[in-house]
Amino acid sequence: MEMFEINLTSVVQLMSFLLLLYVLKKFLYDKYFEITDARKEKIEGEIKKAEDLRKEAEELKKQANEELMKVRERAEEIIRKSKEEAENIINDAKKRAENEANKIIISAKEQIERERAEMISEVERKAGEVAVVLAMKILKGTLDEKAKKEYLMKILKGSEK
Amino acid sequence: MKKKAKIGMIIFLIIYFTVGIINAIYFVPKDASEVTQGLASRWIIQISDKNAWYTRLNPLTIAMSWAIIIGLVIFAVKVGKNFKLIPDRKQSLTESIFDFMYEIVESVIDDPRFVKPTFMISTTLFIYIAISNVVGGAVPGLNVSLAGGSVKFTLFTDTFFAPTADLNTNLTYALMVFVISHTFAIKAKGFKGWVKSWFEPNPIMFPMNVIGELAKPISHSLRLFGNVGGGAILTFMLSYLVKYLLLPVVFWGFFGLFVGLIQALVFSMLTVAYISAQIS
Repeated sequence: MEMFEINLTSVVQLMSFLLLLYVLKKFLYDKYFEITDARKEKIEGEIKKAEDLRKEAEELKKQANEELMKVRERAEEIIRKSKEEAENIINDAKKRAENEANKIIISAKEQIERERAEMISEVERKAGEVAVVLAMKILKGTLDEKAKKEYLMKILKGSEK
Repeated sequence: MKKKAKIGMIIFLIIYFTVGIINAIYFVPKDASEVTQGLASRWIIQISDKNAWYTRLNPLTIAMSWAIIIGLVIFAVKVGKNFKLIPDRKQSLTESIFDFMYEIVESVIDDPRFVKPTFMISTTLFIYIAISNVVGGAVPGLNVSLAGGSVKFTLFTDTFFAPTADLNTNLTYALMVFVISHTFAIKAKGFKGWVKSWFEPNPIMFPMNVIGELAKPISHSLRLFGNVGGGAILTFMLSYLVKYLLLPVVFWGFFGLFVGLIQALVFSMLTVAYISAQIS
């Protein structure tokens, strides 16, 4: 039954194991824990950094959107004002054109009136002359020259009245 | 394979076959009973005239154990000095084993105070037992034969002797785990809580609990001893049957690597389970 004999070897084995445990703890386990902790911290730091960067990017995106909205509003405002201004300009131009047209029409009417009056006076004058000529032709045999003129002048004065 | 490793392998095979032929010619016993005669015996020396348990030693167990421990210490110092945030190959291997063990321990042990100590104990046990089993089961080397009542050293007639094939090693470790688990239990539950746990769920169960607890180190140690010791005897017999010359590679691989690694894992997992059962 030598196979099952328990002797001093047990104590030596226990001491050997404890020594091995001590050496492994000092050279491997402690360093393993240090490295894994360092790695964990590094990864957490990287994740936090990435999270911060993501937040920053989101903030920037938000700001950019706000700026874009403002710019769009401003552009719309400018367009609206421009439209109003254009309408005003068009209205002014229309008014001015209408006024000008009215003025032109009035002056044209006046001119027409004036020319009509002139024409009428001209026609009257011409008609007088024609009438004198006609009357002279009619009175050619009956009155002398002096009497003709006096008669005609009388008629003409009468017509002017 | 690298050129250096190729040269090493060729040199090893030349030595192995030369020694194997010498063994086959000069050392193979004609009678099989000569081989099996000293199979169940251990090489034990007495360090004083008094014949007591504390004066007797198994030199082969201690020598192999120290060889493995020295190898591990050299490896640990070498790797530990160069431990970096970005690991090299050796550090990666070490970290892979540690990560594997740490995840298991962390998932089994509820109390975070005991995770690291349990991890260190179970991982050291796993590494030591795994290397012992692999060296003892799959690497041909120096063999001590006790056939005929005399101690005879032969080379490559068998694999190296595994320290875990000696009950001294296994029972010591099993008892150490037993003591550690109860120490942790006292720390976790307090002395009163620990005493109370012996009488749960009913005081009538106290004898059962005592038997159950005492059976743990016995089953813990005998399981490993039976597997490794039995594997060693089987590979030894196979080596004899092929006249120590041809490598019974499949069996060495099976008993050395497969069974050896599984038993190392089982032993360390049971360590974690016993500690967990005590502190929870």
